[in-house]
Amino acid sequence: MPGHEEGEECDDAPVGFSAHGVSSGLARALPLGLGGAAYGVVFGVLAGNAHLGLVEAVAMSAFVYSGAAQVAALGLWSSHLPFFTIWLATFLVSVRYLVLGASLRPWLGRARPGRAYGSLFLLTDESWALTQAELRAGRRDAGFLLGAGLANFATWTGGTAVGRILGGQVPDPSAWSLDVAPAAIFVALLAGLWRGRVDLLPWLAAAAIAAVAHQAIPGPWYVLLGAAAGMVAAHARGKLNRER
Amino acid sequence: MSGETAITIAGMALILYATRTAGFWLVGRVPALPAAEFDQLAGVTLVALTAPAIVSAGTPGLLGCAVAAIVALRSGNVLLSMAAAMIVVWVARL
Repeated sequence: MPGHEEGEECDDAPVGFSAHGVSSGLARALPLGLGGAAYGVVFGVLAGNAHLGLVEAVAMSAFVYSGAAQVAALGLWSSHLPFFTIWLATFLVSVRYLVLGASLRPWLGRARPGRAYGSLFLLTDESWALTQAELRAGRRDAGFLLGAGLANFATWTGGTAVGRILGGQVPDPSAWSLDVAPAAIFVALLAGLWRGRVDLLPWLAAAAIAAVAHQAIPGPWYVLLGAAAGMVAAHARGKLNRER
Repeated sequence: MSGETAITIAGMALILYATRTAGFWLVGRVPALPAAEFDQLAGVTLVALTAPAIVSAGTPGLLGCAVAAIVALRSGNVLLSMAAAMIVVWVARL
C-alpha cells in the first residue's frame, strides 16, 4: 500500500491511499458529525411518522445515504408507493453530486478505480468540503474522503436508528442550536478555501445567484445555478487577465 | 420490509450512486468539461451550498456564521468554529 507521504509531491504524482488517510478523515469528520447525527435523528422521527419500520428507515439511510433525497421521498410516501415520482424527486435533489464528483476528478482520478468508485459511494456535501480543505492544505491522501464519509455514515445511520426508536420524544434540534451547525461548518471551511482577491468575483457571483435561485426555484437547483454563475465569473475574469 | 419498499429504496440507492459517480466519470471523457478552471469549482460550489443557508438562518444565524468565519480564519479549527457559532446562536436566541 503506498504511503501517504507520496501525496505531497508534485501534481502529477499518483495519489496515495493509506490507512492513515482514512483514519485522519474519520478523526476530522466524527466530532463535526454532531449536526449530521441530529439530522439523522430528525429523519428517523419523520420516517416513523411516515410509517416506515426501523429496518426500512435504517436501510434507506445506509443505501440511499442522502438527507435531501430521503426527506423528499418521505414527503411522497404513501401506502401505494409512487415509484417513479419518488425516483424523479431523488434524481432532482441529487444533481449537485455531479458537480461535487467532477471537482474531485483531478485528484481522486489518480487513485485506483476500485478505491475511487468505492469512496464515492459515501460522498456527501460535508465529506466533500472537508476533503477540499484537506487538499488545499497540501495533504493529498485519497483515503481521507473515505474516512470522512465513514464518519458521516456512522452518525447518519446511527442517528436514524435513534430517531426511529425514540419517535416523538426527541427534542427539537434548534433548542440546542444544532440547526446552525451545518452552515457554520461550511462557513469555517470556506474561510480555509479563501485564497484572496482572485476568489472575490466568482464567490460573489455564486453567492448572489445561489441566494436568489434558492428563493425563486423550489428544490436544490440553487447549488447548480450558483456554481455555474461562479464558474462563468471565474472564466470571464481569467479571460480578461489573459487579454491584458 | 415489503417488496414495494425494497424496490423504491433500491432504485433511490442506484440513482444516488449514479449521480455520485457520473460527474467524476465524465470529466475528461466529455470535451465540454475542461479541467482548466476546476480549482475554482470547489470554492464556488461550496459558496453556492452555503449562501442560502446563511440567508435563511436569520439574524442569529448570520451572527453565528460571522463568528465561525472569524474563528476559522484565526485558528483554522473547524470544530472550534462550529462550537463558537452554536454558542453565539444559542445566546442570541435566549
